[in-house]
Amino acid sequence: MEEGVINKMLKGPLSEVLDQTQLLYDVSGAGNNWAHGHHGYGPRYRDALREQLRRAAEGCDSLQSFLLLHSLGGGTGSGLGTYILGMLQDDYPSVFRFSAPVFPSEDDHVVTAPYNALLAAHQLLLNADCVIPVENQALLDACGRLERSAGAAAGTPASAARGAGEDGGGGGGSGNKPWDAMNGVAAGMLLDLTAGVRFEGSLNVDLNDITMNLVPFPRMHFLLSGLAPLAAQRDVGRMAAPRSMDQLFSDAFSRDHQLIWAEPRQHTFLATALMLRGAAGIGDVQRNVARLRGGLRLAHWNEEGFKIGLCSQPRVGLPYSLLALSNNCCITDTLGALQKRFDKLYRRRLFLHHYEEYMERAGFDEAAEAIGALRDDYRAADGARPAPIVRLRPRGLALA
Amino acid sequence: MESAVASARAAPSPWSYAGCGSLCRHSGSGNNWAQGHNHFGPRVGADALDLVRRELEACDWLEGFLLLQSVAGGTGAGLGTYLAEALADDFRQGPLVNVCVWPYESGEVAVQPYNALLTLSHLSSVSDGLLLLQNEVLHATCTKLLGVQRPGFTDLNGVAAKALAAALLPAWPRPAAGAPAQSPPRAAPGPGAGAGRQQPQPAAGGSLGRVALHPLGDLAAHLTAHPSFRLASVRHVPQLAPGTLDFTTFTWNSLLRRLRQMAVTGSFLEEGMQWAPNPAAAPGASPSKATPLPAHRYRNKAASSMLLLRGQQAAEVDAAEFADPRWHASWAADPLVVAASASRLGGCQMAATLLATDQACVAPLRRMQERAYRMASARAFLHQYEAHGMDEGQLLASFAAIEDTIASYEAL
Repeated sequence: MEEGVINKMLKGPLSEVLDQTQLLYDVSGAGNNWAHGHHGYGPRYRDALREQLRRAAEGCDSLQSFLLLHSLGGGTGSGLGTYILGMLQDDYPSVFRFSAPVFPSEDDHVVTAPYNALLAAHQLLLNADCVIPVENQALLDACGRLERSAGAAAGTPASAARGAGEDGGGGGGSGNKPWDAMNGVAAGMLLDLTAGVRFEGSLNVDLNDITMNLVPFPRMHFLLSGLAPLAAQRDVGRMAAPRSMDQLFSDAFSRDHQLIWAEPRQHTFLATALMLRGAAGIGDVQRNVARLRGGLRLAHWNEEGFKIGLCSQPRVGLPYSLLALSNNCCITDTLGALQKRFDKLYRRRLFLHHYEEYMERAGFDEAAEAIGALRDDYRAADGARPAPIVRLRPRGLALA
Repeated sequence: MESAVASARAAPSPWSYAGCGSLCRHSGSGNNWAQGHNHFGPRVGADALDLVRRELEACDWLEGFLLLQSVAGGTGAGLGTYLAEALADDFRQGPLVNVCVWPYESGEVAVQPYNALLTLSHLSSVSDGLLLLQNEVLHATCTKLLGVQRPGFTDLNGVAAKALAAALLPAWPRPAAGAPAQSPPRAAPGPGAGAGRQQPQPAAGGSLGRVALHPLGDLAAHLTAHPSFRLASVRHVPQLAPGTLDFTTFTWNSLLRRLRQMAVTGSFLEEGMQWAPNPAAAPGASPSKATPLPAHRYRNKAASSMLLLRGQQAAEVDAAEFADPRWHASWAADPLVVAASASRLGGCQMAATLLATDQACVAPLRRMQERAYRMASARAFLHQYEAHGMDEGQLLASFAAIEDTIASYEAL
């Protein structure tokens, strides 16, 4: 939206990939104000947006899904991004809407990020089919570990923002953060996610398979993604190759390999998908699932429910890679942190007047309540005990 | 349905699929049985039936329909079921036999309990016979008997294809006992049709019937004739690694004894079987034909069975022990059909295949149902099915149908 940001992107290495006709400009962005993006820019550009979406959708042979990349901390990505989500819901109700938002981290340099994030998360809850959040802090930690293990000096000079999460949680790529490497990791996750659609494999996973298998209850669609090996494309060459196939599976479920800060093993897995790329057979997956299952807390009604995907095309430079998507109750911690920061500001009604230019205050309460209810749902599912099951009686036993 | 079809068509293989004989859409059903059955079914059903009709019109003789499908997913299970129902409606003249691939227990798809139960319950009301192939069994066959350390789907498919070939290739009925008999051949469907099926017999086989078995017709008419016992299992011996074939000595005696033992103990692998009748009672007794399992050790019973022998002297060998009344249900009249063919199967001197509507299907069905109950009690994933026009009542109806199936098999 912001002219400067877009121009910078067009000068970057990806400019040829981007469709110039599908860009929408304004002089300035939404100024870190969710309400400005959602209720201001949204209605104003509605027709233009709809026209561009229609043009893109009509060019498709097979419209699989919409994948939205945006941040939650700022104004444009979170506000206008979630507005687009609502539009897609209206215009293309049967096409799945995926969102890969960048959640703001603790020390975000946007003061109003807590407001923006919670309001946007509420929209994601309402209008997205599947949300795969990514956290800056987790990516930063991962990249830091990678740098240390590679023995190189930490910190890569920030260059043009590229690919996913375009300006990384609202901010101009300043400081010493390795944006490229972080974006690369997130992009790797998206590549693995869509690999089943793009390449062949003996057990292909469509995007609609993912929602089907990973969303047991309509509102609980916030997925945890674990990537192994965890590295940006650029760094793959410098990294030690995964020791073995089994190591890959253990890694994907460990804390250090999650794209948000979470403890997956401490919480209940409601559903899991293992998407393997490269030279691996169903036998490898079966063996590892059997090995790992003991160490994971699985929902009592879905103890065997692993969705398995095999794609024969590996990622460039890697023999094999694994993306473990899971619907894990540890998302409560992430949502909880979001809510805590929101409450800190909202208790004192700070900055509210900026938002009240565009929206009612009731919107805040509504969002806080909805996210709270979602957390409760997840908390209830975490460690839920099996209820006694009422079996049906066979009817046709008159002869026996 | 999706790109998988296109790649199957392009793949180099000894089979060729006519380009006009396949139906291709851009996306699958996303593991959603309801989507495949209620959404894709009505949309592509007419086109699919058109393709079938075109194939049929080119046929001189309709043997029947053989549907290969998985039960876990959305397209194979959901759309496959829809097509089976449509075929049963439109083409009643040929039997409809489904080959269902049962998924891994640990799961390939999270919602496979729902999908599998829905498929089986719907199919058992329209299909004339269901052959169940379990991935788990195919996998174990690969690792334990064929020596494939890391089997892929190609290996599994190979084992499945061989078992199906053994079950469905031409064979000629013969009496169970070894002695030549003069009884007229059974299973002649009609004078005109029978005359058309008379084929020269491949080798001397005095006791073979003159009319070949109808692979699908006889399967439906004999094996799965009882409406409560539509589910049949396939057991095939020997399962040998390709390299060991030349160094193996075959005798009918040992082959049939192993197959029989597999059947009565309910095992699918000729490995780790229980041979000793009762270790405490007879410590040194070696298993032999004279002392098979005592009656109370019969773990498995069948409503009916079909034995196919292939290879040299298949026509003469004595298979009377398969007519054992303890292996069949007490009410079953004439439960065994034996058929033989002198041609070898895949280079094996001798091979034997047993199709039976036995209790071996109960255990996997039970486990699957257990999981479906647990899932449904948490109401997990139900909204995805409701989105495609299936309510909880329909799901429960199929649970009940499976309970019926389990109960009738257990009562054998």
